[in-house]
Parts: sequence; C-alpha cells; structure tokens
Amino acid sequence: MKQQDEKLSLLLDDYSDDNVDAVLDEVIADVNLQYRVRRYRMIGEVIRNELPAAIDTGFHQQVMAKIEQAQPAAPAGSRAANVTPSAVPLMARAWFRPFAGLAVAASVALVTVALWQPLQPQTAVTDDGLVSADEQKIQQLAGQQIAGGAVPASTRVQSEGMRWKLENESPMVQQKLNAYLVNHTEYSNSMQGLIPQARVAGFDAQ
Amino acid sequence: MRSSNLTLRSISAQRKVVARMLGAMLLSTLASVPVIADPAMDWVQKMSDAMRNLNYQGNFVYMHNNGLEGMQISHFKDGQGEKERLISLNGEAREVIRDNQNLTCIWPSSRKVIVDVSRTNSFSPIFIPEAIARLEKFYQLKLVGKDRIANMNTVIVHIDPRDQYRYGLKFWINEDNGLMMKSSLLDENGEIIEEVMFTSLEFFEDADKPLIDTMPPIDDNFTLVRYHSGDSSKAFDADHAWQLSGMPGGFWRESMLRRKIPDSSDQFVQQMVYTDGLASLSVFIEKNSSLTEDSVSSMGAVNAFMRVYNGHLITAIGEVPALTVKQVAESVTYQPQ
Repeated sequence: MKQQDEKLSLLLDDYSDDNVDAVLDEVIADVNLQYRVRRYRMIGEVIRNELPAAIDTGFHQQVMAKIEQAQPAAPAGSRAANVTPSAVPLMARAWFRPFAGLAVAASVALVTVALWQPLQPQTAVTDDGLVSADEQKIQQLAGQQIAGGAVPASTRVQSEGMRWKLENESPMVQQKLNAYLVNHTEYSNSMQGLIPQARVAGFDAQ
Repeated sequence: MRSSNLTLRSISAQRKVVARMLGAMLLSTLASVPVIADPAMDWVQKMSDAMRNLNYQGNFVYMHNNGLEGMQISHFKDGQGEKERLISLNGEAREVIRDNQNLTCIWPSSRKVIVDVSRTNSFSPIFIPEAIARLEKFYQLKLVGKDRIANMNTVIVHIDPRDQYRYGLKFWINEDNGLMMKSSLLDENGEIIEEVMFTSLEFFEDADKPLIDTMPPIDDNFTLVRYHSGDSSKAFDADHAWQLSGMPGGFWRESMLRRKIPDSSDQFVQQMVYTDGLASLSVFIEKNSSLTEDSVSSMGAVNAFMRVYNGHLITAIGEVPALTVKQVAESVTYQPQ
C-alpha cells in the first residue's frame, strides 16, 4: 500500500516523463487506484479551496484523441465501429498519454479532470482518513454536479428508454435505425422544439 | 384640333392603364416578399432565436408512448459557439453532449458511446423567414391562449397541418424571452404523440457555467458503437441518379451527402434530408446485404420504412406519419443519366 501511495504521489506531484508510463499502466489496470487518484486530487483541491469553478474537460477531443491514437494498431477502416477488446488497453493508454509531457501543475489538473467523477456516497467514505475531514464539503460539492454523471461504473440499471417498434426485429435493423436516427436528427432542421434532442437522449442503445 | 384632343385622351387613357398595371405589379411583388406580420409567426421566429442564443439550464419531462422521462438540458453560447448537454434523469443516465465539433451519445450502464461529427447549426434549428412564410401553405398558425409553465408566463401557438402528411404542433413560448417552455407533437386526430415540458428553468447572463463541463464516467470498458472519422466523416459526391417522386408538397431538399459506412472500405451510405420548415425526414440509401423484404418501424413520433430495391436498402425516416415515409421510400428510383 505504501509503495502504491508513493507511486501515486509520483504521478500526481513529482513525476518525470521517464517513469510516468509505468505508473499510468498501473492506474489504468486498477479501477480502485483510479478512484484513489481521483479522491486524492479532489481532497487536495477541496482543502486548498482550488476546485475550479468551470472544468473544461474538452471531453470530445479527449475521446477523439484517444481513438485516433489507437488507430495505427488497427487495419485501415476498422476503427469505425465496435472497438475490439484487444484495442482497449491501447485506447486506455492513449487516453492518458497526452498528460505525460505537460508541466506538473497542468498535468495534475488534467489527471484530476480525467479521473474526477461526481462522488457517490460509497466512494466518499474511504479508509484513507483524509476524507472524513472534508467529507461534508465534498458531499456538498458532489451534490452540485449533474446527477446523470453520477452513475457508478458497476451500476447496471434497467433502462426505461424508448425502443423501436419493429416489424423486422433483427439486431441489424435496430442498429441501422439507431444510426439513421442520430444522423437524421443531426442533419435535419426540423423545428419541433426539444423533442428531437430528447428523443435521441431517450432511446436505448440496444 | 379634334384629332389632337383624341390623341391626348388616348395617351392619358394609356397612361392610366400603365399606372394601374404598374400598381398591380408592385402589389404583386410586395405580396411575394416574405413579410411576417402574423403574431403567431412572430412568436415562432422569436422562439427559434431564443433557443439558440440564450444560456439556460433546466429540467424537463419528456412524454412518449405513454412513457415519461425526466431530462436535464444545459445550453450555453459564447464566442466559440454553442454547447449543449442533455441527460436522462430516469433509469440509465443516457447523455447527449454536443458542441460545434462533435455529437457524443453515452449510455453509461450499457457502456456504449457514440462519437460523431456535429453540424454547426444543429442545435436548435433556425427558422428562416422564407420558411415561415412558406409554412402557411401547409400549416395554419394561430395564437390560442396563454398559460403558466414552470412558474413562467407563456403564449400558446398552435400549428395545424392542412394535410395528412405531417404532424401538428403546439408551442408554449416564454412571454419574456421567447424560450420554448413546452411543446406537443400531435397526430392527425390531435392526440399527443410526444411532449416535452420544462418543470424548472434557470437563465444565465453568460456562458461561464461549470455544470455543462462535468466529466461523464467513461472508461476503457466502453464500446464504441459507431464512430465517423477520416473517410467515414468525409462527405463524398452524392449519387444524383437516385431520384424520388413521392415527396409530399411543401418539402424541399435541404441537403444531400454521401459518406463511407464505418467499418467498411468501399461501402457508402447516401443521406438526403428533406424539410417543410417544421417537419423533416431523411432518406438513407446503401447497398443491401441481408434484408429480403420491406419493413415498417416506429418510435414515438418517428416512423421509418425500409425498402429493398435493386440490391439497395432504401430507408425513409423522420418525424412524420407512417404514410409519408412509406410513400417517399416507395417512390425512390435509380435513374442513371
């Protein structure tokens, strides 16, 4: 545990390009470690009252960058859909890769952003002792976030979203219709208020 | 002299005729300019502007197929453009994030994510005056009263279709700033098919708000359902040999694009988008690999008709009645020059 803490400290406070990859590999492989990194950064920022008013995640760019960086590993054209399990570790690595070359302060902030999720009650109560001191404040901060982001990784909720009523129930038809609906909503200019957007957010991934 | 008087009278008469003709022509010209004088149309135009330009965050309910979902929307606009985040508050926290570059849909429990290119003007669509003026031919717009939604005063605009090829709409528009507070999509019997209504809403002066930027919990166990990048996000020249003859009156082609199908090297899908200013539908055409017969699908107000034709799969899909998508899909033909 102590060794692990030292590595995290290395990652968060004082790492260099030479050893960050090894630490990142461990963090990528261990969900608990990811939560711990996130907690540490949250706690640190709460204690220092540095939690940013606006967190600019650049989320899409990160997803795109992650995928683009993984691209050379796959045959041309095969990245487009259903990322294969073998590609996942590479993607995960790429997800963290941009952090490596940045200045310490900036990279710490980025790691925080990448790993930060609104805290669940079960994640706020930890064994590292530091949490209890500011638990109330963390809870308060966590409560300010959009509820939708607060689904823990392990949660599996029975979806109640919209579903297609299909004459032909083949998965291929369903998949095509989902893709078509997203593209249609995106490229059409129908003036029906929020309904088209709500429809996309409402339907099941199926 | 008499002859001279007759000539003068004749010239005077001709001048009067010419003046009348000019007057008539002027009136005719003025009539063809899209002037929005109808108060109902004014409100719709105001709503269109407000939905794109205001910074707001609120919760709303979305009713469909006898189901009810809570959702949250955050919409901000700054110098860099618009950003919008939509989250389902019930069941799975489905999420749609859109900025000027990308459209991302996330299903956290199913662990799926879609990242796609976003169109700059795809937030809340813009109502152009010409389109509003054209609407009158196919819809009747009228102010039908006032109401209070989410503790805010609204005016109600009812848009009634003049034929069976499109749905009706009702908008509750914020009296102070024009934001749409509630909207209902109505079928041919006036029954509600889908409805959204704000239950709480907050406006912000500037776009400097943090909530839209919170991080969705994406990890490496997520499956990328579909992703357009490189060639698959690039638009290729559309194949103009695809023609359709069954489009109902009032619809015009808004765009036509052709992209590579993700996960394929030489397969293309062509999309043709049509709108009448209110409703819209798309026709997708791609090589058919497995379907053997036509099929009908629907989800809420969205209807789709898939047709197998000449080795291709033709799909008409949109927020229009089933009759419309069927008629359109069945009218598609391939006519090489």
